[in-house]
Amino acid sequence: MLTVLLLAVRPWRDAVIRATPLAALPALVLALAGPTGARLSLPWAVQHAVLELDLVGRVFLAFTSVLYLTSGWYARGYLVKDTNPLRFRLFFLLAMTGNFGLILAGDIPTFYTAFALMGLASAGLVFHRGDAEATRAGRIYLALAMVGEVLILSGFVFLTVAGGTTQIAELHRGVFSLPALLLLLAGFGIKAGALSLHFWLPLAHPAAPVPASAVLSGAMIKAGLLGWIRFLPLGEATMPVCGFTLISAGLGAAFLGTFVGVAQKNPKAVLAYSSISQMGIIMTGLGIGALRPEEWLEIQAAVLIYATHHALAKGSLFLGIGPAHAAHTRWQRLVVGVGLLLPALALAGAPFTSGALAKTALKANIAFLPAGWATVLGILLPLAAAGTMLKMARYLWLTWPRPGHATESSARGLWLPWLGLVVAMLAGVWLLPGALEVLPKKLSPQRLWDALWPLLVGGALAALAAWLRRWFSGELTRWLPAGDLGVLFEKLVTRVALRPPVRPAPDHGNGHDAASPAESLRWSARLAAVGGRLARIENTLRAWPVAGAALLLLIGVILWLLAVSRH
Amino acid sequence: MNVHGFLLLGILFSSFVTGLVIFFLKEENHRLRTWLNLLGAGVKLILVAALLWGIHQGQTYSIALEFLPGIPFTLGADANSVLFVTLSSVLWFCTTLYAVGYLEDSPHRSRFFGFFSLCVTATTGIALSANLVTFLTFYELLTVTTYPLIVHRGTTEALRGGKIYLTYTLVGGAILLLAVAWLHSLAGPVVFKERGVIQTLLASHRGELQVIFLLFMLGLGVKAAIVPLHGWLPKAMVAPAPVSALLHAVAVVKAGAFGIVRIVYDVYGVETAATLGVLPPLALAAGVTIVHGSVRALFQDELKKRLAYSTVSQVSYIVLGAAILGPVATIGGLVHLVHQGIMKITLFFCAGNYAETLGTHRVSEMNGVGRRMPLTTAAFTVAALGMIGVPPLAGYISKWYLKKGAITAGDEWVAVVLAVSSLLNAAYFLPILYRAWLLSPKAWPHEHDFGRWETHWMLLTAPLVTAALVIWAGVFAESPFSPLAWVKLIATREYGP
Repeated sequence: MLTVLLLAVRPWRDAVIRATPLAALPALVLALAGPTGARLSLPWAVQHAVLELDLVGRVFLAFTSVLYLTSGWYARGYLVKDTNPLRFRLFFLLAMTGNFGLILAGDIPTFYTAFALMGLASAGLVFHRGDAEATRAGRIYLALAMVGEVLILSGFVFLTVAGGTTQIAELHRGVFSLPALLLLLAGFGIKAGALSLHFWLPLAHPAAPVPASAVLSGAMIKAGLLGWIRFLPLGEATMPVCGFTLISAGLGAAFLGTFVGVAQKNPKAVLAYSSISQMGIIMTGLGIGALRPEEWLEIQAAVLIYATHHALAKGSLFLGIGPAHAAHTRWQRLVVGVGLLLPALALAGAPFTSGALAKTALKANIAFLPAGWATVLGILLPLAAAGTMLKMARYLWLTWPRPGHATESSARGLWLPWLGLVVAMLAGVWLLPGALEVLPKKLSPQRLWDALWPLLVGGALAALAAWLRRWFSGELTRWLPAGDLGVLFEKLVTRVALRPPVRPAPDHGNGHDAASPAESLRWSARLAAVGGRLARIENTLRAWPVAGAALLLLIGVILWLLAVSRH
Repeated sequence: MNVHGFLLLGILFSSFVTGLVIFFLKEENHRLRTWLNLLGAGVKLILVAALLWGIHQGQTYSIALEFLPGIPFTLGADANSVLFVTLSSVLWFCTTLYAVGYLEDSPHRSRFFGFFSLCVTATTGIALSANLVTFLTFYELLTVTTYPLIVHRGTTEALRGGKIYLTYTLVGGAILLLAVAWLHSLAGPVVFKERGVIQTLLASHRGELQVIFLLFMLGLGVKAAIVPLHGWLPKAMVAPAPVSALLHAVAVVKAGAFGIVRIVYDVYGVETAATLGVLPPLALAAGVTIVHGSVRALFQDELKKRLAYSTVSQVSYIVLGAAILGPVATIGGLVHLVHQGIMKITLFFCAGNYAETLGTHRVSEMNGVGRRMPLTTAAFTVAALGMIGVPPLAGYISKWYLKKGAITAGDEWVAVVLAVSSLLNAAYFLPILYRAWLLSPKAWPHEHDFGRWETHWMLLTAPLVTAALVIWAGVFAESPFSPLAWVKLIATREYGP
C-alpha cells in the first residue's frame, strides 16, 4: 500500500500534467484511513529503508497533503501565463515526494534522504521566477539549506553512534549525545526559521510563486518541527539548557517577527514574518516539553494542534493573494474579504476559531513550568497574540480588495482551491484526535475576555498606525528590510570584502550571496584574491629551490631519525 | 601453478596483448582496432567476473615466477585486489567505448590505444601484485605508460604538463624504491598479507619502521596527490578527456591511493601502524588535502581544472579512511575507492561531451547546457550531487561510514573536516548545476551536430552507464551485490572476526 503511495507521487507521472495535483491525494487518503503502525521495509534500498505511519506522522501527513493538494490545484490556474510550467511542476512534485517521505520515514537514512530531496527541490521553486530577487533569495536559501543538511547529517551520525541503531523507533533515547542534540537543534532550526537562523524565510517566500510559498510556509517549515519531535530526546530526559534556549528563542522570534513584519510592504513578506512568529510560539511549546518530559504527551498533542492550525491558516492566507488581486465585482470582493478575514482572525486566535483552540491547548501547558517562567509566559504569549493581530491587520491592509484596484484580469482556477483550503482550515483542526478534550467545559466571560483582549489591543494599535500614517510617510522598509539579519550580514561581508583595494577580477560564477551586481563583483574579486594567494603558495612550493631545500631537509630528518633509532 | 594462476595471467594479458597488437595496426584500420579494443575489454571483464566469484567462494589464486634470485615475481588475488581490479576493468570497458567515439577522425589513434591498453595492464598489475617488488614494478610501468597519453595532443601546454607529471612521479618513484629496498633489507621479501607482516620487527626496529612508513607515504603520496605533492595533477588535465577520466578515476591517482591502502593494511597492518603512531600525521595530511583541494576548486573557472582539484580533495577521503583505526572507517575509505571512481569518471565524461559537442570548456560558458544536452547534464547532476554527499547516492554512503568511523574512533575533528568539505563541494558544484539547468543558453563556442542524439552515441552511453552505477551503488548499498558489501568483507578480514 505504501509502495503504491510512493509510486503515485513519483515525478514520472508528470507527463499527465492535469493529474499533477491529484498526486497528493493518496497521501491524504492514507492519513485519514490508513492503519496506524502500517510498516513497509525495504531491506536492500537506502540502508534498510523503513516507512512507517504513526500518530504524529498521521497528523503531519494530513495537513501536508491537504496543502499540497490545494496548492497543486491552485498552481494549474496560477501558472497559465508562466514560461516554464513543467519545470515548476517537476520541482513541486519532487519537493512533495521528499516532504511525504520524511513524514513516513521510519529510519534515519530515509528521513535524511527525503529531507535533502525536499531541500534541493524547494530551492528550485524559489529560483523559479528567475529575476534578480528570486536569484538572490534562492542562493541564500540554498546556502542555508546546505548548511542545515550538513549539520543534521553530522547530528545523525552522532545519534547513530550513541544509539547503536538507525531505526527511529528503536533509538535509545536514554543514551544522551550532547553534540547530536546541539547539531540537530541548529540544523532543524534553519528549516523551522528559528531565531537568528530565520532570515532566509522573508526572502524566499516573496520570491517563490504563490502556491510554492504556501507549501514552503505551511508544510516544509514544519519539517524542521517534525525533526525536533522525532530526534530530540523529548519525553525522555530533562534538558534545561535546551528547553530554555527553545523558549527564549521562540519568544524572541515571536516578537522580532512582529516588529519587522509590520514594516513590510509586500504581503508575502508580512506572512513570512508571521510564520517566524508562529513557529516561535510552537518552539516555546517544545521548550516546555524539554523541561517537563513527564508531561510530553499532552504537550505534543498541543504542538500538533498548533502546527495543523498554522499550516492550514497560513496556506489559506497565501493562496488568497491571487483571488484578492482579481476581485472585480462587489460579490467577489465580499467573498475575498470574508475568506481572508477568517484565517487572519484564526491565526490571531479569535474566539471560536481553530486558533483559539490551538492557543488554549498550548496555554494549558504553561502550568507545567516553574512559577516564574509561567508568569512571564502568561504575560508574553497574549502580547505575542496582539502582535499577530497587528501583523494580520497589516496583511489585510495590504491585500484588501478595494474597488478598482484589481491588477489581474481574472483568477480562473484559483478560487476553488483557495476556498477549499479555507474550509479545510475551518474544519480541519477539530478532527484531530484529542482536540475536543482541550476545550473548556463551559464558556465563561472571563475566558472569552482572555482571548479577546490581545485582539483588541492589536486592532487598536493597527488603527493607531493607520491614523498616524497621515503625518508620517517615511519608508519603514528602508530601515527594516525583509531578511533583517541576513541583510545586515550581507552588508557586513561586503564591507569586509571591500576594505582593501583589490584589482577587479572576472566573475568566477561562484554562488555567493550578494546584494547587487556591483557588490557581487567586488565580493568575488575579494574571494579571487584569497584564491590567488593559495595559488601563489602552491607555485612557490613547486619552484625548484623550494623543492630542493625540502628534499635536503627530508634527507636530514631521515638521517637524524636513523641516528636516533639506532640506540 | 594451476588453472587458477592462469586466470590471473589471462586478466593481465587480455589488455597487454591488445595493446601490443594495436601498435602494429595501420592508422586507418578503424574497425578492426575498435573490435580488438572491445574484445580485450570484454574478455577481461568476463575473467574478472570469474575471479570475483572464485574469491567470494573462498578460493585462492597465485602464480610465481623467479625473475631475480630471491625476489619472486608474484601475482595473487585477495579481496582487496579484486576490489580494485573490478573497478578498473569495468571502467576500462566504459572508457574504451567513450574513447573510440571521442577520438574519431583524430590522428595517432593506434599509438593512443596501444598505450591506453598498456596503462590498464599496469593498473591491473598493481591490483594483482602479491608482493612489494611486483607492486613497484607495475607502479613504475604505470608512470611510464601514462606519459604518452598525457602529451598525446603534442601541444606546448601538453608537453609542459607531461614534463611536470614525469618530474613529480619519477621523484616519487625513487623515494618509493628507497622505501621498498630498506624494508626488504629488514624483513626480506614482503608478501602482502591481511593484518600486516611486520609485527615481529615492531620491538627491535621501531624508529626505522616509522621512517620507512614516512618514505612510503611520500612516494605514494605523489600519485595520490596529497598536499603538497599534488601540483602535477591540475597540470595533467591537458590530456584528452578519456585519459583524464581514467587517470582521475582508476589509473594513476587511484594507484597511489591503493598503494597507501596496501601499505597500511597488508604490509604494516592497521593495528600495528596505530601502535607505531604513524596514523595521526597521515590523517592530518589527508584532512589538510581535503580542505585545500576543495578551496582551490572553488576558484577554477575551467571545468576540468575544477574537477581536478576536486579529485585532489576526494582521493584523500580514501587515505583518511585508512588513517583512522576501526572497521567502520576502513569501510568508508575503501568504498570511496570505488565510489569516487565511478562519480569522477562520470563527471569527466560529461566535461568531455560538453567540450566535444558545444566547445564549452569553462564553467562560465555552461549557461543552459541542460536544455541542449539533457541526458549528459542529468548524468553530470547525479555525479555532482553524489560528490556533495546527497543521499541516496554513492558519495553519501562513503561519507556516512567515514563520519561514523571517525566519531566511533573519537576523532571528532575528522567529522568537522568532512562537514566543511561537503559545504565546499556544494559551493563549487551547485553553481554549475544552477547554470546548467536554470539559466538560459547563449551561443555555444563550437557546436557540432550529431544528428539524432544530443551527441555521439558512444559519448552518451558511457556517462549514462557510470551515472547509473552511482545511483546503484548508493541506493542498493545494503544489498549483497554492491561495492559496500564487498568492502565489508574486506574489513572483516582485516580486523579478524
